[in-house]
Amino acid sequence: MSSISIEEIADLFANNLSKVLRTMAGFEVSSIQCGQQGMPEIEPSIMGAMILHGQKDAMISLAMEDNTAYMLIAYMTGILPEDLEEQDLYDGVGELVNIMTGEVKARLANTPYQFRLTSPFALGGDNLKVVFKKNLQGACRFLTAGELEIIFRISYI
Amino acid sequence: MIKRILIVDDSPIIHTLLRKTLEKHDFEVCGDAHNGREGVEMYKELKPDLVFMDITMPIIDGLEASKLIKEYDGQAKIIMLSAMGDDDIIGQAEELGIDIFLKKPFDEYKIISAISKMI
Amino acid sequence: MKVLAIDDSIMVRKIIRGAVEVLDGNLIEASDGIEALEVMEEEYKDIDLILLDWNMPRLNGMEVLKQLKADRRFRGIPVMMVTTESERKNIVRAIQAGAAHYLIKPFTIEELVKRIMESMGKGE
Repeated sequence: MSSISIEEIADLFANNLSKVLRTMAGFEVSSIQCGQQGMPEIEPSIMGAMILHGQKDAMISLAMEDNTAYMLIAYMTGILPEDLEEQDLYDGVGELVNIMTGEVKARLANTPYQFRLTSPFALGGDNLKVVFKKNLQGACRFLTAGELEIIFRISYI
Repeated sequence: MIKRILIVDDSPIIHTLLRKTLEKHDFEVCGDAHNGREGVEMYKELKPDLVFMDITMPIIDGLEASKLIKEYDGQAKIIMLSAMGDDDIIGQAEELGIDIFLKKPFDEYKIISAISKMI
Repeated sequence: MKVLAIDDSIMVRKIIRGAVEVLDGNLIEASDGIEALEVMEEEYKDIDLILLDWNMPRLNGMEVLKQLKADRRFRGIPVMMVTTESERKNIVRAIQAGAAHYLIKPFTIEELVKRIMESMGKGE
């Protein structure tokens, strides 16, 4: 297989996340590169993440506002947002990362880009940011479905 | 007054979420249809005050089903449930006299304000 | 109908609960492999179907599957793997280890309901 850029890998993840949200929540999602015109400011308060071990190790994350997480999980489980508890939110966002990663892992199996999964985890707090060291390679996608906004990031670590 | 509501959608999750929200506000969900044809049949049988109608469904889609319901009952009240990317269809539905759309994902506020516009 | 769902995600267990309730069944939950084997000791006589995730803490789904199939009390209960693991070689491994059905995440709730019915012998 010829070489794949981190931008292409980011698209694999973003496209698969779109598929996951279409299948499990019935949402139509569109994805653009972060920083493009029309990308609004959002202040994420919840983030699901996972470390991937491969030839190069990477971290992937999905960040969103609480309201987005409530809606996503409500639409995946059929439970009203107000009946969801905080632990459902953290679990759900972590699991979303896990499900998004499954097919990408299968796609990249037996290539130089193959990786092993770790257990997903979730972080919470106001206006979460992920700050990596300078010059680390990474890519970012901004995904929207109606009013829902999600930021996907991948970075070699 | 709107009291009895029929839900036509192929997704059981949408039924569950809509039903819970509607019942919380004292509406009665009188029927659950899972495709357009079932929706039309149940409309004739149940004569609900309002229909929530999904667009993309098997057998008969929401647009065709709405047309059949409107032919049967010109006064039928229908709220269409749409996903992003259904813009073409929204235009066609407007020609049928349907002017209320709920874009997925919808929350309690959107559902209740859509119904209040119907009265 | 009684179903045991073994998955470390609360959300996935809730989705499964929704599907099992559509079928008027009962659901028992376990959040990892060790807990699942404990539940089996107590309740195996009533369980008609096991839904099993692959990647879980403590004891993963593949190890659970092997232990279930090695125990003559549990062997006859059908197991459906419900997992993000979609590499062909792993699907083959699970089937060879005795999984009767395999469902890859993401799935729609309709698909899940249909697959549960099929694996209970109530499908087409």
